[in-house]
Order: sequence, then structure tokens, then C-alpha cells
Amino acid sequence: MKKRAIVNIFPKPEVLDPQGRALEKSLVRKSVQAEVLVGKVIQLESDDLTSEKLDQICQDFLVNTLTETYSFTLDDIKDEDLKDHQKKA
Amino acid sequence: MEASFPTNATSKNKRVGVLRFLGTNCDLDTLKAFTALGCEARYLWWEDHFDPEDFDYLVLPGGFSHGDYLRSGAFAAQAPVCESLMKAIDQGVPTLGICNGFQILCELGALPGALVSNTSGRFKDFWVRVKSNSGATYKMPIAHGDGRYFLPPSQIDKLDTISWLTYEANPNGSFQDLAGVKNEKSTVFGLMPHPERAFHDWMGSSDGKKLLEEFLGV
Repeated sequence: MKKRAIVNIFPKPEVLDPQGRALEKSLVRKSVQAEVLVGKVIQLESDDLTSEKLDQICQDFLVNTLTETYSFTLDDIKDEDLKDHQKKA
Repeated sequence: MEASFPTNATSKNKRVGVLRFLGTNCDLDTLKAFTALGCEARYLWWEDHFDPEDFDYLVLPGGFSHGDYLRSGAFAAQAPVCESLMKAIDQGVPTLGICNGFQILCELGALPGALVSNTSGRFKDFWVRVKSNSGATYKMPIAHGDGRYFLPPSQIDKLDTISWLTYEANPNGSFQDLAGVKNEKSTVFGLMPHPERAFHDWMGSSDGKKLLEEFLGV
């Protein structure tokens, strides 16, 4: 079964996030007071993913756990999603 | 400084391996610098393995290895050549990482901590002065976007043993002004400034030559 993983990665609170700080300042001009973190999202679609395997990949490669936190979702891709995807491809 | 470097070889014909990844761009300058110091320097390609016994020193030059995708040094740390590098480091082969090489050594866990984006969010490219823990000072250029040294709170007790070089004026927000760190055994060294770009007086300074000589135990 093909699965889709979405990995969310954010800088840890103790690591200054210059992009987040810059956005905070800019958002003030839009009348929004916010605490902002800029991270990244990685999407993987694969037949070979298990939760354990994905977690291992995150710790070994996708994430530097000294400076970043991560979370992920791992879901089966529904048939109709797959067809859409194939059409696009 | 003199005391903090290993002195395992005598003088001439030290065998130096210079690691090259896709996007390494200080490889030739680094090779020339070590050759000019009388070493037998040669390149090591990222896809290859090597025998640690064949080298007295290993150097990871600067650049933007594998596009610095994901994080600076993250892809390089996964390269086959790093399997041999880690064996060599375990065996105590003195290893120096310059700029991107420093970032790679941190990604590998061969040096503590990590290098994250400069506080300003900008690429910093100018001359700096750094001071070693023995009191010697060096004028060398920096050129980096991700040079802010970060040591996790859980490892702060290591600070005294890993501290090697500090900036006179912190250009990037590095923890404790650190420009260079070493491992606890004093066999692995990493620094953000470029000693190979400060090798002859006409470059603006030859302090980098002095630093490389000290690394070689000359």
C-alpha cells in the first residue's frame, strides 16, 4: 500500500530563528502580533514506509535533533488520490 | 594552541587527504596550502572509501557541499567517504574542518554542537580576528551564511574542553563568540574562518599559514 508521509520540522525554541523574527516584525505592519517560527515540510510517497522507519530517517538525516524538532503524519494514499496524482504525472 | 594540537608526524611528507564533495569549492586552495607546507596532499572523492592508514591528516575544505540542501553539511555527512572518515577519526587521525567542513563534522557528530544561520540572516564575508585558547591571534577571512555556533544547553559543561578559537568581534551570533571548536580528545578541529585564504602576505594576512603549520605540528 502506498503511503504518504508529511514531516514537519521547526527550529527549537532555544535556537534563534532569524526568518521567524523578521516575519514577526513585518506582520506588525499588517496589524498582527504573532510569535512566528519558520520551518520546513517534507513530503514522501512510498511503498516502503513504516512509522519506525520514517522516525529513523528523521533522526539520521532529515532533522538535526540538536537544533530542530519534528513531527510527522503517515497515511495510506486513497485510490482516488493516486489516480489524481497519476493524471498530474 | 601549540599544546592543543596533536604532534604525531615529524616534518616532511605528511600525507594529507582533502575531502571533496559535490559543491566543495575551497578544495584546490586547501590542497595547494598543504602542498606548500611540504605535505603530500591528495583529494578524496565523496563516493569513495579510503584506508585511514594511508593518511596522517584529513581536511574537509569549505564550500557548499551538495548545495547545502536540507542543512549545511547534511548531505555530505551521509556520503560514503564519511564512513572512512569516521573510522579515521576513531583511530585518532588528526582532522580539520574549514567552514563547510566544520559544518559537516558537526553534522557527523565528530564535533559537538551545530552551525545555524547567522543572527542577521545574512551572508557574512569579511576579515575577522580570532584568538586561540593559548592566546595567539589570527587574522583570517570568513564567508558564510550558517556560521552561528550553537551548543545545546545539555552540553554546556563541555565548553571549556571544546573551546578553541573565539572571535574578537562576533560576526554571526555564535555561542560564547566561538569561531572554532575541537573534540574532547583534541584530534578533531573545526573553524569557520578560512586559513587557506590567509596563506601569503599578499592575500592580506599569512596568519592562516601559521594556523595550518600548528595543526601539522610543525
